Amino acid sequence: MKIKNLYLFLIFLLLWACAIRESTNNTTETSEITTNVKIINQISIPCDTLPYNFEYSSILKKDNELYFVGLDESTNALYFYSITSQKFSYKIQKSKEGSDKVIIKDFYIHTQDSIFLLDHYGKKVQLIDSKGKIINNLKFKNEQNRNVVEALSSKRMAFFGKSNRMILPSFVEIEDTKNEFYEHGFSSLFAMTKDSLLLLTEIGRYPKEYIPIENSYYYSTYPDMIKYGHKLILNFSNHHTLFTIDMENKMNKIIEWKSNYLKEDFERLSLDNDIQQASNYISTNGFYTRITVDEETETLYRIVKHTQPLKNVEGKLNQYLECGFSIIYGKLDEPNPKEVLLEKGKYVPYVVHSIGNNQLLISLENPFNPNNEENKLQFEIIELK
Amino acid sequence: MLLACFSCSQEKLYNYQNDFELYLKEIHHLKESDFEETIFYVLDVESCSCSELNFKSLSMLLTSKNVVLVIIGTSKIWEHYKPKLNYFTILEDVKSEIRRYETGLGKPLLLHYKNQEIIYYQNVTDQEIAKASAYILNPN
Repeated sequence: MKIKNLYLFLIFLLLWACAIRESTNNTTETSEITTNVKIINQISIPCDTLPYNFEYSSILKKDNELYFVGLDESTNALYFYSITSQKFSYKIQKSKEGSDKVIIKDFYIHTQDSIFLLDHYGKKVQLIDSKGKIINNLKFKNEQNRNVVEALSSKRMAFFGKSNRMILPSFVEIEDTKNEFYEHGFSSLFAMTKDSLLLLTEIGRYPKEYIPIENSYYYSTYPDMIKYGHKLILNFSNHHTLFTIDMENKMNKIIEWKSNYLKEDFERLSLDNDIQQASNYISTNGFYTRITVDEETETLYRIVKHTQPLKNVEGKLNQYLECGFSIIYGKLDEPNPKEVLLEKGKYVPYVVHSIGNNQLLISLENPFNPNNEENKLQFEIIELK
Repeated sequence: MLLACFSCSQEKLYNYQNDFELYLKEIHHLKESDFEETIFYVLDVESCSCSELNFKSLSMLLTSKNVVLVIIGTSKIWEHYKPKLNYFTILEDVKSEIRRYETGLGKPLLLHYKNQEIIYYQNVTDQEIAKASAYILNPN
């Protein structure tokens, strides 16, 4: 019996050694892997007929209460769910008709009484208070002839109150398969006056690795951007390095935060792909998705999507939210951040917000989460230390 | 044997025909005979913001002959248009099972089968909704 156990132990050691070797062949480890996801609280909000699936979301702290705010495009409304009291609180519904109409495509909460709404196709930005009352309709003063404002869930809006500068997601009207596309910025900087937005310049610059080579490219090109002090932090999906960009369009490398679950080099997709090939590429490859930051503690959280096989054991396509995810986190100047693995199929790792005190609010509305209850909007508050 | 191999090597007009048929057979229980003369119009009402434009166009058609609407997911817009489109044959895929198959679905998809082969297909971009409707009115 003892000899049998010894054999088993030796086989285990051999397999473990092989696994380690394979791992070091494929990746260069830069972050320390931890498993300490501490669940602080389970949030379950009855929502019955209320929306629960949000591509655009944010958080708001008001009167000692924490709200999750989601944009529901079908009803053209912002829904405020109280995380503190675990109930739906109120919504701001905007009219799609009339002189003050706005078709909300994105929003930015500057303060509890200053919420910016980005109108369809960037026609205007409407500033409202917490009740939805219009403070200002901000019209674009000069023509955006090259880089056109349009919402995108990763490239969010940002407003810098001290300098009255606003950054809006914008798109140059060139296909991203063309090299010329990468010579342009990916957002636009505006000066805000009482009732207008004056285009100053396009901002942003792609890392050189993003330029298509050998008829292939990275496909999902736009970086995730988040306001941090008087700058923006840029998170490129296929680049281990994090960048900042300031109002003078100066881009600087902050630090390299490479996931232990990603290889050094990223796969590329053929330029002449079709929608299915692109979908397969996104589903199977690993890359960085979102970032969220806690400005008080200067802690950054970087979400990582892992690789997965195209098909499951039944020969059916694996789905995006079935794959593994992890979070790299640490102080912005930390060369060796920690990385924590999330439970597979449990969370929606792109609906995640830093709420301070090393805590994240993360959605449980993953369709492959067997414990997710119907008619409830569910989150977890997790602590990463 | 030679004939069989020749048949295997023939390129399909639509790259994802095999998986599309597998999807219809496994999820909607269609049979070979359902591919004799049918136009499938596949719409993902959860992911595509274009669904209202497509429904408006489809609801103005005066013919539903051989047209099968395959509706993926659920949405308020679909619930609104469903009674107006009930003269079409409708297949509903509430759980979006189509995502488990390689069908090439992104924008709405129009696939015309004749004698079990696809003779025409169109990825219906917003600019080409009218073209898709014109094809349904006057196929071939």
